[in-house]
Amino acid sequence: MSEHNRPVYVAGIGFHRFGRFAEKTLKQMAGEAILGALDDAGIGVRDIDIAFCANAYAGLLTGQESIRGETWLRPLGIAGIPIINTENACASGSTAAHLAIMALRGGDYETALVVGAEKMFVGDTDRTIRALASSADVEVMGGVGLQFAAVDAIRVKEVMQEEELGEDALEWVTVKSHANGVHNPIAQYQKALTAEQVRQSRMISEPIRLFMCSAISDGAAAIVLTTRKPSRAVRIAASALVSSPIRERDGETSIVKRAAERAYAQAGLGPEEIDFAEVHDAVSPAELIYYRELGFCPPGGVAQFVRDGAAAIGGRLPVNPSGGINSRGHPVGATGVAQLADATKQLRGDAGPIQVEGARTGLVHNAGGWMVRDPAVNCVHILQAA
Amino acid sequence: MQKTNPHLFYLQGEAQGAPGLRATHCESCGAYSMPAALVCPRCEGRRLAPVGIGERATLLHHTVVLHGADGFEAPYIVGFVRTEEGPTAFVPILGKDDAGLERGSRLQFRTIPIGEDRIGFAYEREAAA
Repeated sequence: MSEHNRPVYVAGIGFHRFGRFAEKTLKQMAGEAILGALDDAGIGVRDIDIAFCANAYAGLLTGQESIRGETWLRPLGIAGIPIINTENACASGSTAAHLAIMALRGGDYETALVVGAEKMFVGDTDRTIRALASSADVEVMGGVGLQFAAVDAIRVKEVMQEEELGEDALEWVTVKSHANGVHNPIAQYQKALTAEQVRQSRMISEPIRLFMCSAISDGAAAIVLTTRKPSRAVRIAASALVSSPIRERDGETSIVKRAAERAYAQAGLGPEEIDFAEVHDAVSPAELIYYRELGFCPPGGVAQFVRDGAAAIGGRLPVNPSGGINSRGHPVGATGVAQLADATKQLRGDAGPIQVEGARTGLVHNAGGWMVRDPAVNCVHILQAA
Repeated sequence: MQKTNPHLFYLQGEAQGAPGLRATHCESCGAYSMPAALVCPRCEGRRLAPVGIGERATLLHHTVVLHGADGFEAPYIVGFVRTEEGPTAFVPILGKDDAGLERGSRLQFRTIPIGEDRIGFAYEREAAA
């Protein structure tokens, strides 16, 4: 992306709280988040020039396979504009943001709405788990007992071995994120955990325990992006999306590192300039992989990064000050948008007890699906107070 | 016999190298691809032959899964292995106890009857020579 592109700013953010909302429809949750974002931006429904709507599983879970966004926006009076539906597994939300940023940078539109919503409580947990499993290549991953917890467990074991991490590091990161989540008003779990509680929770796929896993969730988040500089502006300094590489051809560099390198190059800065990060901790110990892959510590430095408490609020580089996916909950299509909205709160200085002092530059990492040896998609955004 | 996942493995006689994991072999550069490819990721060759691979494999990492899914009753073992031809894969490993299973363990492919009319596959520890 060239520097000649028009700058893009976050003008407004809105949420529908994450959790279990049996009586609510996707339309209602998306609508609440969208109206919140419009009010925050100080604009009306007719000020939106284009909308990007993220959702992963409505086709399987509610039967609304097509035109999901159109069904959400019509009741609000947002119509007669381009409405683009995006599905990219757990990275659907950041993918929608990436597309919106492209549209605005390109100059054809001035103000874009990005909304992500998901309804995962449908009264049949097995159906929800089957829907989640469809975020891998079903021809390759079907019939072999694979579930995301097992794939994540193996990724975490790999980093434990490479970085000489013990189970205490897995517990530390879980306790750290839950302590932050207590103060996030949209989080599904606003409850602190002790290391002992994490250790006593049921083993799901060793070394991953129940309290390390993100929950099934309903919820929605929305952001308004614009090329008109708003007051209390937060600027998009980078938007990079990478789909899984063929490692045998493209080299062993992980997809996370590839996306981060592109984002740093686009923003013209490096990891040492990042003040805080929101990363994709669908299982909390995955965060340990990202410290290294996003360049927050050198290879071989994860154990020291944990011992230093660097990722805690007040540490050198707070990670998931929002509580992360582990506390916020994971309504899949909404997650990537919620991460961007929570990062915007930090950069505006509006995060209350979980405010990172002096936060000027934040990194947001959202991953989705699985292909062969990597997540199917990784998206990294860098946001700056402008 | 109906295979649990016909896209993923070959039975004896279904392809060269079978039984084994379903892959392709590039006639130009000799690279193996799994999942099966239409274009060779190494040389972009398009003459790819179906082949079974992974009769033997080496364990890289594994996990004991304690939550049943996909028709598998917990506890069961999932491994991440490197086949002797090169490609890596997530595969089921026979047994409920991972004692003695470690990085570098030698594994072999085998087919397993499931019920009366289905057939699946898993890896098991190679018999000591």
